[in-house]
Amino acid sequence: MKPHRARVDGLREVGEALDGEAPDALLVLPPAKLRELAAVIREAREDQEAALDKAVERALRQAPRLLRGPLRKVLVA
Amino acid sequence: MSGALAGQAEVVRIARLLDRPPDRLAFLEAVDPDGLRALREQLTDTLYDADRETLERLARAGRLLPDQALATVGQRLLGALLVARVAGTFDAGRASRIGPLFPTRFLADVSCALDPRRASEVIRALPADHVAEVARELERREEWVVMGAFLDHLSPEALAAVLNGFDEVSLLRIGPFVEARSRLDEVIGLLDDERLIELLRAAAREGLWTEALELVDDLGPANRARLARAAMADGDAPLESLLQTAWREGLWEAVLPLLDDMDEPGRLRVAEVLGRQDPELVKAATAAAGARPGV
Repeated sequence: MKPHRARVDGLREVGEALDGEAPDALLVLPPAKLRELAAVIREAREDQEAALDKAVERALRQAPRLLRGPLRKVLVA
Repeated sequence: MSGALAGQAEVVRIARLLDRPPDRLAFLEAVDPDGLRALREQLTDTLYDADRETLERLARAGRLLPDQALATVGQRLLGALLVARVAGTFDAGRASRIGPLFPTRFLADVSCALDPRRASEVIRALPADHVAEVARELERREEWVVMGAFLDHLSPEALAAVLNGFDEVSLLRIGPFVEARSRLDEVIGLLDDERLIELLRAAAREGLWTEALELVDDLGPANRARLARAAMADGDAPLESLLQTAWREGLWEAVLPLLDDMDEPGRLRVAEVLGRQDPELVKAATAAAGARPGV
């Protein structure tokens, strides 16, 4: 049986959040849950990006003055 | 491992990866465990491949520094998250020299942010005693998911050192999160008979029979027989508690293979204990035994 259109759209949304194709096994989830999963993944990716940026900022802030230039080149070139 | 527990374990792993409470993702339990595993692997790639260019530059720069300087820069400037992201890019020999230069708590932080699959060689190269110290710190933090993922990648020496310092309850808690299920046979093989008995006592005391029984599936005949003997070695109470759990949770499939590995007196004792149970339990056990292939 073909999955309901809304589920396919929901699965596509999860795939977009993953930058790839979401596993078909997720099609058992109702469309609302697929959208919720996509939202959680997007949030987590944003949080992770912020955490990495913070780690880079912290490294630059704490580095001795002489090291800051080279470190900046490495981290944010 | 049974589908239900495998699915729950996958949901907890995914929640850990996304840094969200497992309750928020409980709806994923409707998906079969293989599908969840595929989702988790894809998520891991997505999250760990982010900022790859920055991390590669960082790794290249790190290779230019001497060991001690790299350890200092790693701990004081970069922090656990960035160190975890570049850890897999170092060769195993270098990692084995730098690892012990980090304090245990810092390495535990790194472990929590690391994808062990990407740093398997590095993990294997770390000195066993240092790995055991980090494992004890992770045990103190109750990081069962992290520990379960790491267990797959430990050298045999490190695994033995880790198990030496571990509480039996922790072993039961980690069990569902061990991905390479065949490794569980090695784990049980490293525990002496007294510790196996203690493992089952812990299961009865802490209500962790489900976790204990899920191990049975993944054991070879020799260790299954040892587990069966351990279940009989401590009076009737653990056996009664085991039968009650199998009934309540529908885990007969895990319990019945233990009978195959028992000697005749052992089986008679099980029959005796079974005879004192609720008739409904006896009926369920008999039906499950009758439904087994070859019966």
